[in-house]
Amino acid sequence: MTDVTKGPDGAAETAVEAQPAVSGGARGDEETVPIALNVARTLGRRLLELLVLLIGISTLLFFLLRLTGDPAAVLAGETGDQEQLELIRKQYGMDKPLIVQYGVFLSQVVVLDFGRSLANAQDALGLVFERLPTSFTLVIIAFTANLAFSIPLGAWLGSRPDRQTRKLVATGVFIAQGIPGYITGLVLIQIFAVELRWLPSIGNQGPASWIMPALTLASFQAPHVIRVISANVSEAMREDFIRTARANGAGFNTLLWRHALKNAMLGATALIGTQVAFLLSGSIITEVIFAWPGLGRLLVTSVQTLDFPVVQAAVFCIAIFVFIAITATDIVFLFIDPRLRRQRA
Amino acid sequence: MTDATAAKSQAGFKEKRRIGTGSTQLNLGLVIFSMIIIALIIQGLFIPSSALDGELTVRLKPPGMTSNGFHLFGTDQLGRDLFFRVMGGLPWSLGIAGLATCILATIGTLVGLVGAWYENFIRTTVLLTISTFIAFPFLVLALVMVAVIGRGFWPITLTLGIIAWPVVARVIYAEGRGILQREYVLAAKLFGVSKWSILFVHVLPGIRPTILVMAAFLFAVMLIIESALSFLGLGAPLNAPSWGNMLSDSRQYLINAPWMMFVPAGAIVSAVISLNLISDGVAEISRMRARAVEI
Amino acid sequence: MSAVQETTSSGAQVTKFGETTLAVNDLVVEFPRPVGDNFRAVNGVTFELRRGETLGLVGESGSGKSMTALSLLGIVPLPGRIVEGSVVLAGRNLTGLTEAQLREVRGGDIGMVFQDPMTGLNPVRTVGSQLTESSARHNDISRTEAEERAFRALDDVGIPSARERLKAYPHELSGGLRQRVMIALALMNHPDVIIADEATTSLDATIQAQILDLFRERLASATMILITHDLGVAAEICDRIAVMYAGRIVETGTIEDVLSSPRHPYTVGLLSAVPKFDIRRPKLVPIPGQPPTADDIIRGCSFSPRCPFAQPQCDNRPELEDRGGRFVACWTPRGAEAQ
Repeated sequence: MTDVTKGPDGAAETAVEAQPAVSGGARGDEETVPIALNVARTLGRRLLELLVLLIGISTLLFFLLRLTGDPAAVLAGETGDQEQLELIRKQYGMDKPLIVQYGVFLSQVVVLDFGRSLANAQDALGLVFERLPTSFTLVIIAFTANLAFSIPLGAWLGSRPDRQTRKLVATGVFIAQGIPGYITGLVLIQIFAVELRWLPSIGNQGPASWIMPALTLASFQAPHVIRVISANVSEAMREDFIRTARANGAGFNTLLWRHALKNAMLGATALIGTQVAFLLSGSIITEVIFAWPGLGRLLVTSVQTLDFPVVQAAVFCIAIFVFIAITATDIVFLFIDPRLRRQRA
Repeated sequence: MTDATAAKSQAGFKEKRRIGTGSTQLNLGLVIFSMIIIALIIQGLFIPSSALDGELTVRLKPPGMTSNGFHLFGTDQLGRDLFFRVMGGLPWSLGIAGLATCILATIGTLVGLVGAWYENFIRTTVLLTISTFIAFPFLVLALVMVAVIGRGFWPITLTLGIIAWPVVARVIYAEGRGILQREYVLAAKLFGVSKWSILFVHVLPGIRPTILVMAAFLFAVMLIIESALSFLGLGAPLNAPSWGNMLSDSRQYLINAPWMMFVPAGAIVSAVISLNLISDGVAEISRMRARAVEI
Repeated sequence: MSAVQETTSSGAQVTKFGETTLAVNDLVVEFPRPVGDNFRAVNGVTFELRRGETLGLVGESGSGKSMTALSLLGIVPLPGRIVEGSVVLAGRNLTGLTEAQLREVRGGDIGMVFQDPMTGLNPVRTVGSQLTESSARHNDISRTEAEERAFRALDDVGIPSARERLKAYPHELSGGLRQRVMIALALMNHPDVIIADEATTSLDATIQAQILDLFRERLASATMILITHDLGVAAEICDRIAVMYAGRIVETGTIEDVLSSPRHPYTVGLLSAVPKFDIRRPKLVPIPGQPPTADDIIRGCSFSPRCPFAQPQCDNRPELEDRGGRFVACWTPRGAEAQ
């Protein structure tokens, strides 16, 4: 899944400014506010957003479902006859007015009661939790692989953007960005599982079977991360403090890795935070391609079979997961970036 | 500005004339994309639907000559010619992606401008809405919406449009704010110029390149999501010639007929790359123009 | 040159200057142009810096003064390069050194203070770490010792609570303190030569005064090149002054001499354009025209298009001529000794 964060001037990957989670910028001599307050502010805001999101999506689902057809019919499936429909209506309280239904719905959501899966009558939320660790593993591996590869490569590309080799590689990265992740996955399977028979392509069979899914998932976002880091680094290298360091005898490597990179990374906080979200998106397809028994695959299956309780439960968990990831990243960066630490009260 | 930078900026100003637009990227992107559009037109006007029928005697044939005639891209598991199938996928994919892009660009721009203009609770609401939905994984939302409102051309188009507008809105908001804080806008307000005038005459031209850049980029993203949906069996009808469907079919036959995968993959990749080129190219041109103004 | 003892007109004994520390000869720095010849940002600059003296390099933006300074350290930004000339420091020609050797010179033998302390310090690293890095690089000492030296450097430039400030980040310091840090950074390893490139320009007036005080107290006996466009600053701090125009030095001499009796028409014009509060004058007299841009190609004396005293012979470029300790690059210099 290609990422969609673009810088304010519209260019695909301009240097991304450090966007503090809290407003304002730090200047010398200002009153400093303890970092705990900043953290609390960020957390508070994010929780509010999460609440709005969860309520918003649930409500959306609720009304859409009832507006586009008879939910009883949907739940009964194709084999339901009139009697069954009536039973279902009574059971789910669909004979009551819409407002009442909505109230019931909300009260259930609040206690995290998503009902039972229509496919196998297991608790919807329980099913989701079962699959969560598997997906989580995949996402973490892909996340780490992505960053470990893309950040150094991006830094190298951005350090001397006008050299021939780098321009060639940059073109390669651009082309790679045009290749959607699932195509990469299919091609990888074609090469490594079908032709060369080196790696298994199905399911969770131990470390060897992790390689291709993780690589595929990482490839969804890698070109974008590379390009953002590259833009940030090349911008950082043009800053005055690089000239100062150079005038004091710093060599190219010192300038790049000790001075420029840290600045570049801190400007990419938004990017890193949303990596998890986009990886989750990509994991859906990746899990399907590689028959990986995770949450994404569960979601697809339950959408295909219109198993709404599971769909709702899954979406909920994904939303919470994404928000945790973004908030955690924001808070970590609050601690790391010295410019964000102190704020005017 | 120190002597160093003055010397540099003056020395580096290019004077060569260029063919077409000023940007190689943009030129290339437009060329490829026009070829795709031409293919779409040809497909719509000239190719009979019978070209998509399968002839079971020639299933899984590699590109080349067969008893059934010449197959440029080979055939699939039902003997259908892949060249015509991949062309056949154009109206569906380009249609959905294109229309969804128009929807999300419009909504996004409007909401972004509203947020930029108003100061009160309207702005807060807008910002909250945007930041809430913007990080949510696209495909997840798309899946859920498709589950609820169904598949088919228009439902999917609407879904995609509704999912992605926050992305545009956030960028337009930032740019709009920037422009609205400039002094000539303050002057216009003081003169009593109506808000619509200001927005259309002053703000819109400034954000036009941004809108184009994002539209091209998101067009590509919509293409990818749409084919992902079809790949998962939740998009185009099962036997329709959509690129995602073709990819999905190809999975079983990777061993015998790898071309089944490469053909739709190639189509998707070329479309996406051409759009990325256009997007980057427009960005490059607007950067060059901004720099020329400074010199 | 041997040590010189100078007496001002008021009879006071002033600083002695030692032997030549830095000798720059015919330095040329070129930038490629898309069409035509390369642009010479530094077009044959020659001057000497003697031990203990502060030389002011004065000129407008674009005159090549910053570029000259950068080329002394070998950090001319690409695509520019030094194409001719020599820079001799303590017997070594710096233009012939390898990058590795130059890295030792930078910050070790020559220290440079830049203009904008806000952007000149790395915002995400502590002040102390940036100082320690330079100290550790140029001296074979332990990390603790390097930190100790960093502390002393900060203390030296008058930063209060220097120990705590080591752990501060640049944005936590005021503008004046930041510039002191930059100066400390330049002075850390006791370089032979200090270059200050518009070191006070981006500071507001009160802070500027403080920094100039610091220069006077702490750096009175330092061997320094002070680059500025502000004649007032030059007058306060410098012993000698070299006036630059369009990449060339057009006049040098002691600060008193040049300011009281300028020889080169450009210097004359500069001083006439400065408003003087103690002399009644009907209006300011600016120099007509504009300095040449990178795209202009000028034959002969680069000031001749704007010079009110231009002659046909000015189509040939004048070199710096020694007129009794004063150097002027003009066929028809002004002043008492004009011939």
